[in-house]
Amino acid sequence: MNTFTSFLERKLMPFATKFSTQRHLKAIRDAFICIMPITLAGGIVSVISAAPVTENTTNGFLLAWSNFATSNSTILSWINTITMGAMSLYIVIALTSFLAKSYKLDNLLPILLSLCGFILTSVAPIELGFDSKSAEISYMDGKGILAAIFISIVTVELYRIMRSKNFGRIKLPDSVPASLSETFASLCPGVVIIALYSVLFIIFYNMQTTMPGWIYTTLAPAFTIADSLPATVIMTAFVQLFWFFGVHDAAFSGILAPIRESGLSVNAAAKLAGETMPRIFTTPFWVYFVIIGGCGSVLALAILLCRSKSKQLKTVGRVGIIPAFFNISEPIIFGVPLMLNPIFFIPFILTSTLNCFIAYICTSIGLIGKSFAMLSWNMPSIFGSFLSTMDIRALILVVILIIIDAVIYFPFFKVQEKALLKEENAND
Amino acid sequence: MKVMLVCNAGMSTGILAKKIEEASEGKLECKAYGEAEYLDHMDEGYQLILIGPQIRHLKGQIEESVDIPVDTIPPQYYGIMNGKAIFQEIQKKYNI
Repeated sequence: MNTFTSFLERKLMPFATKFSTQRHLKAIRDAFICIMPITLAGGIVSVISAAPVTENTTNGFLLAWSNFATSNSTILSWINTITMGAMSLYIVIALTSFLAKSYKLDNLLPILLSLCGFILTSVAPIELGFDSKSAEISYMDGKGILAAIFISIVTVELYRIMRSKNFGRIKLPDSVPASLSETFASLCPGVVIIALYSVLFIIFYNMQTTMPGWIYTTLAPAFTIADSLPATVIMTAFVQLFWFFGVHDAAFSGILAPIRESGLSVNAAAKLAGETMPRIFTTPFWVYFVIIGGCGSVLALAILLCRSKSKQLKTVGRVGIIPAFFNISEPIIFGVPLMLNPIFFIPFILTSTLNCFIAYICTSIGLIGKSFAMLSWNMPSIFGSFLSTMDIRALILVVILIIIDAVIYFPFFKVQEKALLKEENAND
Repeated sequence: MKVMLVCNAGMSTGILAKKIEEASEGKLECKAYGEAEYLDHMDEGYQLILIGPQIRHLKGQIEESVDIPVDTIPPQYYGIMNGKAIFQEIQKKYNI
């Protein structure tokens, strides 16, 4: 087992390094972290709009809440549409900024160009009168994420290449101040980039769609696959496998964050519109149902550790249980340790994967509601599961999952405890 | 001596930074930053970077980007948030 793990480590580490240092993936990951305050604000509004009432509700507070939400629905919907529901717009700004920064370019102009390109290709004009203009903005939500990523990368790359080759740089006399000649140097690249996006707009406009609309319809099967049971279970097992080698899952956020966040945004929009939510695999699904206590689902193990007879494990449990409650698993993972510890290989990967499997099935057959609001990574699962779905059964499911995790961890925990007790007794 | 702790988002090492500071009784000043932002703080006079074990695969890249020593925090100390042991190791290695 030891040679096997060290063999895997040698193979997997360079892969993880490559993934987490790849410039574009890293910028995508940082962009998603950066827009969290905006998605959180949208999440809070989603929760306010979704009073948990049924036809039989008699509780005065809940009914008042529901009345408030109904009578202010336009206000609440608009706030949500412009925060969570315009996620792609913010991704364009953040991603362009991070990417430009990584090339050590001044980031303001690329941001402006990306923003212009994104709005041009993603918002569809309906009526452009003199005193009133209306346009269709639905693709600014999670459905526009791929377009947002595409536009940001294309803008920065084209801008960088043109600037480095001094494309269209107008020769100015030396007496012209440097800042002015910089502005002139970016004129041509800027116009070329906007011209390119205008052409894209014309093409898609003539096809009676928008760029994200076209991408979304063309890639619809891929989105369905990414949201399917096998895909979510495999993604979970994959992330857990790398965590076993101590690689933080942020290494793969460049790929996983767009999938999870677009699912969340699409569900949030559907929920507010009163339609059936299409997605299961969302950010809150991942944080509150799959990784209960952080990656490795260590909350259950932390509870076991606190009651351990081994002094060492008990210490780790006491240090780690509060962070684990807030979804930070590092103290437990490095303290027990779980990382690279062959004893825990099976439960470490199995617990979260099984959580994902069970929670997915419960959601898809309607035992618990779908998630549509993301509060915070650090909100404990028992609260987060309820608030993100507004379904009290989700909370019950999380408690059951913690018990299942504890049952899976228990025999392996006992093996580790026995080994440590032997050592500890020998030292006494 | 100013020490910077770097981990994924600066959250879990944030707890540890406080413990190391306490253990050093004023000899060390520790701040934790996420891997996306640490470069923005490099002009603040840090003399040593300690990285969390969960991003140890990025050690090479971080070393290249700065001109001060970079060490990985031993997982066993990290796990039980043993600020004292980490402080003692820094003390031994850098004679303070």
